[in-house]
Amino acid sequence: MFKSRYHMIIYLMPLFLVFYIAMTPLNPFIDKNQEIHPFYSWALFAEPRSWHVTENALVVYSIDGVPPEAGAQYLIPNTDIRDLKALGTVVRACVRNPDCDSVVEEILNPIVKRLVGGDNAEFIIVKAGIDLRDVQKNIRELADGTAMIFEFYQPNKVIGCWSTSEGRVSLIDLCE
Amino acid sequence: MYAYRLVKLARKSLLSFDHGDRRTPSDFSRAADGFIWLTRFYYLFVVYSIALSGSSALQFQNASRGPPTHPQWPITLLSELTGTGWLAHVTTISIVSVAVAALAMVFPRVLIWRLGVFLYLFLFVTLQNSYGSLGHGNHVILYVSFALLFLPPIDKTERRSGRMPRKNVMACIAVLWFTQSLILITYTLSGFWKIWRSNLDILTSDGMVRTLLDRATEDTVNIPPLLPFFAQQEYLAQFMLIVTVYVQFFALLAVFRPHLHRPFGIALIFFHLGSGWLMNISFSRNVLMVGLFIALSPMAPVRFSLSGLVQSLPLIGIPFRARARRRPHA
Repeated sequence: MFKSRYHMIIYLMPLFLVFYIAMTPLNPFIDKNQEIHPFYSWALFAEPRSWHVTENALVVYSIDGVPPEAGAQYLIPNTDIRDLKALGTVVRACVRNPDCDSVVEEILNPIVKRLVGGDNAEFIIVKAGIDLRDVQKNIRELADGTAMIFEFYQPNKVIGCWSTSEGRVSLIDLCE
Repeated sequence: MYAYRLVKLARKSLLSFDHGDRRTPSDFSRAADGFIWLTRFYYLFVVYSIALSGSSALQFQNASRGPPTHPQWPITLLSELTGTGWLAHVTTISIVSVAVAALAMVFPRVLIWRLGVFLYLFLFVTLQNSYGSLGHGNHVILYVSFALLFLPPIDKTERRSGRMPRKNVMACIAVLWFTQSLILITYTLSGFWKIWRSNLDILTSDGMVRTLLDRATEDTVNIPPLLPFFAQQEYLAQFMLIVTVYVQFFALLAVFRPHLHRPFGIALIFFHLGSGWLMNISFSRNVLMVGLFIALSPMAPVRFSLSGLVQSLPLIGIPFRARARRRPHA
């Protein structure tokens, strides 16, 4: 079919690149943050950010019935960024379908158990607004540890409340 | 045949700027030999990365978390075919793969070893991304392993004479272009999306600072070392973004403009270093891939030429190229 391996690659290369590019727009049809593996779109940091952003957060309500120390409530985002990404996956699933207990159990329970230990941890998933101007003003304090990022969080929506052993629970009025 | 002519025409008119850089057969032979050596270093790096200990190793760290919670399609397919029992043997798979990658390093022209490395990396990247979050630090090393599958085998003529025949030389050069294309298309796509989705944010004075601060709210464990400075320098940060988007968007063109190989390779390495110092984003394996196959490209001119670089630059180089064309040849 081809005169030589050189010609085969010269044909294949543009075809494959076109195929790769053609696959990437399909990614958002699955999920904004998913991909048709391994054809990633590489749309990294492409969305413009405004000075007011909203972040997901996982707040620990109690560990074996005992509230965590002040400053330790915000479990995520105060851990590895991969945990925040996993939380984002759960929040998107819960926004699509509020009956998302199985997703929380599959993805978040192992993370919460790994991070806080204990037999039973109760936690709340919230959305919080952040004014990036505040972060900009206090960036040096954040860098030297005298300020924590959750100090700039203004929770504005509760996604739901769960317990690692009992599933969905009602911890505060907004949990329902 | 028509498609081949079309590719040739596109290469000559749109993609190529090499009128002053005609290459001799011995240049191509040297470049092919150099490329084979680069592939040895690539497989050496794979050996090192699998054998590493710790979270950055190319091992199946996530397998300890049990069966994948969000399996990608290859894991689903594999699970349907063989079940999930193989997850208990990932350490054995890694050990075998170190041996396979070492053999690929010693015998880079033997397909079976390269195929083994590709399958291992494919399985590794797939499994790592099957637990609800996606990471992209290992995609490019996987793409390179795919491109290297097309290296020509050593045939009888080559074994007898010890010299690569012309057809294998050209096949090696084509695989080099394919490798470079697969690496650089990721940057071109990244640059494209930054322009396409930016809503002209790229032209504002504070777009980059907003992105940096937003990133800092996501990864608060360690504030990157240079962020406190650049968060206050909006214009400087924005200028860096514009340069980055320029290099990223036109990265794929660099494959066809050898004068850009080293400068763009170095620029992309600095881009990754900057991402690490400003956003805590480590694409260390991309740095090595760009370093090996772009900055150390065997097709890059032996001597650095400033005029060659400036004339090869996309958009910026157009008036310089026109001027050079008007000048009578010596």
